[in-house]
This record gives sequence, C-alpha cells and structure tokens, in this order.
Amino acid sequence: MSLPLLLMALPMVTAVLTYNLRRWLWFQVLLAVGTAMALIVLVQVSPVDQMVVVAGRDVLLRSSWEVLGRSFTFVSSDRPLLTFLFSAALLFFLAAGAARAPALFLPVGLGLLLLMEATVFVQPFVYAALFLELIAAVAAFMLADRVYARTDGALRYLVFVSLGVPFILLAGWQLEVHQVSPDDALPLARATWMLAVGFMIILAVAPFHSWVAMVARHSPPLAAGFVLTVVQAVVAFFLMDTLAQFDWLRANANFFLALRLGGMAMAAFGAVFAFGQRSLGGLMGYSVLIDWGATLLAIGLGTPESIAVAAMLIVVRVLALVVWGVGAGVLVGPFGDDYENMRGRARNHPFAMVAVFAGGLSLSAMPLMAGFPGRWALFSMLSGAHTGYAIGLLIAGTSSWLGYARALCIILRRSESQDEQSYYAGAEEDPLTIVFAVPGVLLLLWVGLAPQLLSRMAQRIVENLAQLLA
Amino acid sequence: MLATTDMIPLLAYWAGTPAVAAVFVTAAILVIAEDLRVLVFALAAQYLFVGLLYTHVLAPQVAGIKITSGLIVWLIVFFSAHQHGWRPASAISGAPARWVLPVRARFRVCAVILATLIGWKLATPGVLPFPVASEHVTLGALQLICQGLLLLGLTSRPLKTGLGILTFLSGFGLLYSGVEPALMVVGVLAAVDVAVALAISYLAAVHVSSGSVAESARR
Repeated sequence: MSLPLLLMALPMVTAVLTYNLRRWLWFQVLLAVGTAMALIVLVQVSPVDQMVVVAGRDVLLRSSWEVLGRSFTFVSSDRPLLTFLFSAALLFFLAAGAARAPALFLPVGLGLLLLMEATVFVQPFVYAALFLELIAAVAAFMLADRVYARTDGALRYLVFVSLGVPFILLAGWQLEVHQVSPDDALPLARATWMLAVGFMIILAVAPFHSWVAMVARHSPPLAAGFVLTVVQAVVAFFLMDTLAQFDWLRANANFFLALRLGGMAMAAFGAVFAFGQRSLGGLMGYSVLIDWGATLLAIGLGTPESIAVAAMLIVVRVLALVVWGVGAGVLVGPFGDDYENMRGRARNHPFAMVAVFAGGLSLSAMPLMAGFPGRWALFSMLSGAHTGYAIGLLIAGTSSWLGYARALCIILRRSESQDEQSYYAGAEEDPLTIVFAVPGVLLLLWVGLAPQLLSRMAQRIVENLAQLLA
Repeated sequence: MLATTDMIPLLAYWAGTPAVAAVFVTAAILVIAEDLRVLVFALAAQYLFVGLLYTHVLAPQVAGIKITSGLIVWLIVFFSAHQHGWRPASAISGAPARWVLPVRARFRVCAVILATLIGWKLATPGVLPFPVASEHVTLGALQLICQGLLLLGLTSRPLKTGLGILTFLSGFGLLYSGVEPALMVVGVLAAVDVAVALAISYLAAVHVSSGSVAESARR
C-alpha cells in the first residue's frame, strides 16, 4: 500500500460520509475531527518504505504512488507541513459545531484536505498548480449557500486562480526547456517572471486582491477563514518549496524584491480600506490582506530567520481566524454583518463578540495577542535596512486596530429597540459558544505571551528552505 | 456509410481551417449573446471543434479524453441553464426584447473585434514563446484565451463568468498540451474543466435561488 494514497483516500471516504450525515451537524463534526486526528497520527508515526505489522499482517507502506507516468511522493520533510495542515483543519472542523457552519462546510473541507495533500505530494512539483485550480473550484461549494447567497467572492476567487495557474505551469515548461539547453539563460528569465506573476495573482497581491474582501464579506465566516488561512497557506508553502527547489531562483535578488514590493502593496491596500469598513467580514478581509502582506515581506527578506517568521505568521493566523470564525458564525446571521445590523445582536452575544474582537485584534497584531510576536520580530528585521517597509507595516497595523476600535464603538451602541426597553433582558449566549470562545481567546493571549509554543512548529515546517538560505 | 479510411481525411480537413473558423465564431457568440439557448449551443460547438484541434497536438485516443470531458462539461452547463429557465438576461431584468442590437451588444461586438485582432497579432510566430505545433492550434488557442479574458471582464453573472473561465481554460489547455502532452496532465486538466463547470453550475443555482427568495420577499 502506498502512504500518499492512504492519506488522500481517507478524507475522500469521510467526505462522502459527512455529506450523507449533513442533517446531523455533530456527527459530521465528530467524523471530520476524527479523520483529521487519524491523519495527524498517520503522518507522525507511519514508517515509510518499511514493512510493518498491522492486525497480524505484513504491510509495506510505500512512499510513492505512480499515476499515469507521474507520482505522488511522500518525503519525511513533508511531515511538519502536513501536521500543520491537518491540525489547522481539525481546529476549523471543531469550530464548525459551535459556529453552526453550513452543512457543506465539513464535506467540502475534507475534500479540500485531499486536494491540499495532492499539492504537497505531486511530482514534478509545479503540477501542484493544477490542484490549486481544483481547490478553487471545490471551495466554491462552501463559499456560497442559500443563506450566504452572494456568489461574487467565490466566483472572483475562481477567476483569479484560473488566471494565475497557467503562469506557474508555463514556468515549469520553461524549466524543462532550460534543462535541454542549459547555456541559454532566456528560459530561466522567462520562468522567473512567470512564477512571480503566477504567485502574485494566486496570493492575492494588489491589484489581484479584490476577492479576499469579497469572500470575507459574503461567505460563511468559517469557510472564508478556512480559505484565507489554510488554503492560502498551501500556496505560500508551495512558493517556499519552489524557492527551496531552485538555487537560481534563490539567487535572484529581483524575485525577492518583487515579493517585498508585493507584500507592501497588500499592506498598503489593506491599510487604506480597513479603517473605513462597515462590516465585520470586510474588516477581517482587509486585516488578513495586511497580515498576508507582512508574510510576503518576511519571505521577501530571504533570510533563514525571516522565513521562520513568515511561517510563524501563517500558523498564528489559523488560531486567530478560528476564534474569529466561532464568534462571527454566531453573530452574523441572514441580515448580514454590517455594524448597524450587529448592534442588538452583539449585546446579546457578549462571548461571541469578544471572540470576534480577540481574533481580529490578533490578526491586526495587537500587543499581548498571538499575532504580535511574529509581527514584532518582523519589525526588528526590517528596522535596519528597510525602515520604510517597517513604517508602512506599522501604519497598516494601526489602521486595522483603529478599524476594530471603530467597529466596537458602533456595535456596542444600544439599538433603538433596546433603547425602548426599560430593563436589560440578559445575554442569549449558547453555552457551546462560551465553551469554544473562552479557551480560544485565552489561547490567543497565551500564545501572545509565550510564542515559543508555536514558533518551534513553524520553524520545523520551513527547516529545508531556512537551511538552504543560511 | 463512411469507412474509417474515408473518415481520416475528412477529420483532418475539419480539424484545420474550419475548426479555427468555428472557434472564432463560437467564442465571439459566447461574449456577445445573452440568450442561454444560443450560449449553450455555442459552447457545444466550441467544445466539438476544440476537440478536433486537439488531434493536432495529442494522440487521437488522448484527444478523445478531452472531447469526453467537453461533453460532460457541456451537459453540466446544459442542465444548469435548463434549471435557470432558458430566458435571456433582458427577459429576466424585465427589459423589452427588440430586433435592434442594444448598446451593450454593440459595445461587445466592438470589444470582440478588438480581442480577435489582439489574438491574431499574438499568434504571429515569434511573438509568444510557444513551439508551433500547428498554426491552427496557436491561432485557435489564442482566440479562445483572448475572448475568454474579455468575457471574464465583461460579466459578473455566474453562468457567463463560468463560460469565460471555461473558454480561457480551453485555449490554455490547447497551448499547454502542445508542450506537455503527459497523460496525467491531460487528465487533471479535464478534471479541472469538469470541476469548474460543477462549481459555476452550483453558484448559478445559488444565485437564482437568492433572486427568487428576494422576489418572494418583495411580494
């Protein structure tokens, strides 16, 4: 049996099962969480290309699965990345119960897990781009439904990924041309700009960023969080893998400059629009844009430390958006997530509101929150040679903080119906929301105070690239 | 009845200039037309002739995979349009249908002509770094890419946006199959087409249901 096949088949089978269980949310949650845990255990303990005894039978877990002349290959250095992906998915699946996620969230989430594994395993690795296109198509099923019926975000996401993927595939072809005639530098130059353009489009670098805010505003909160953190993390690690594979790309200063400028453009656009938002989803979308801009800036610095910081930012973002998603899933109803619509609901759901603001402020790198240590480390790196970037990022972060402060002021104002009431009716909070929101917020604070809890995991994910850059 | 030996030269003829001409026309119709009946018919014709163009760059058996996937995609779009109600956009928005070209259509005709010229210019040898497997393929593929991009820029409705993505991907698939004819890549590209068709069909259904909910709420 091949380990990649086993790892990809498991979520596919359980995706079908969870789809059939969509009337029973908690059965779905149990099955999805169990699958994610089983995958984590398999990735951590499975010996590769060795005979093991399972239920009295000798089983050989091969590292590779050949399909039509290409292969899906598991290498030991993939273990930390896969563990992160499965853990992130586990947190989102667990949160789906508290946030009352749409019925398709879990089956589609499991399906996406299978495709994300395929992007990690496929060889030659540039074919991962094809699976990114499949991911965008499958994600559409969780990004819109009868309640969240605006389809603009899902469509725009699909369009931009469709535009970006051809560049990466054609870059792979140019690399093959270079292998045939190694003295010709033109294919390498073409491959470099094709990779840069392809990644810029898929990573939502401005001006290709519009889908981020649309998805954040119009899609179910947890589904939006899943796509903006876990799926986009796969793209970022694909970029890092590309850097690790090609020494000529690592030696290209212009490529790193493009990443830094792209990151700064994301942060600048986020800064301009975050403060003026009038909906929770929009504010989250532009805050995520700023955070992704910081991540690209860190990758663009091209040092082992900055790559570790980029990985840390990606890992912490998952925590922030899970907590945000639990709160927003409760607060945001069929009336939308405009601040005015939230006014009455926020006072009735104080724990959900605290979860939304704690997650959002962590995303904005507020001091004491989980997002701060990574951003602070990045500021320290930028303060020497790239002071302009540091100031720009600081302004972007401030815009996001002010956006949340403004949102809090509007949401906490009493609604007209509450003004007419002469007594306080009390909170209507579901105990389940409290069970998820309180530990989530405490975890964000704890990671903010003790970032080493996650930084080691983040370092292990990018160990290969960090060693090559050293 | 035609024997296989008679069919081969016939196929070779239809996979040449007629296929490119058909691709030009069908891609233009996809951009300009609003009536779903016309759009679905144009998509079917486009996939048929793109399938014929694939015979220039892939073995006929492998090109068969693309034709089959095209058929599946067309069926998905057909049923989605059927569910949508076959009405042109003007009927849905309440505007009266007239026998003169509305301003929007006239603008689209001009844009299509411009996109055609751009695609034609890009197909000149040496402009783009592609090995020329066949001039017909390059010309047809670049037309599909340009018209697909134009369609993506001009519409925001799920079904038409989806047709834009599918047209763009058809063009890219033709070009890419010339440089990477591996069976797995052809298969995954076919799977991508089907997944995109399913996604836009789902989004179109959600879009329509939200419209009907809003309509019943207004009543």
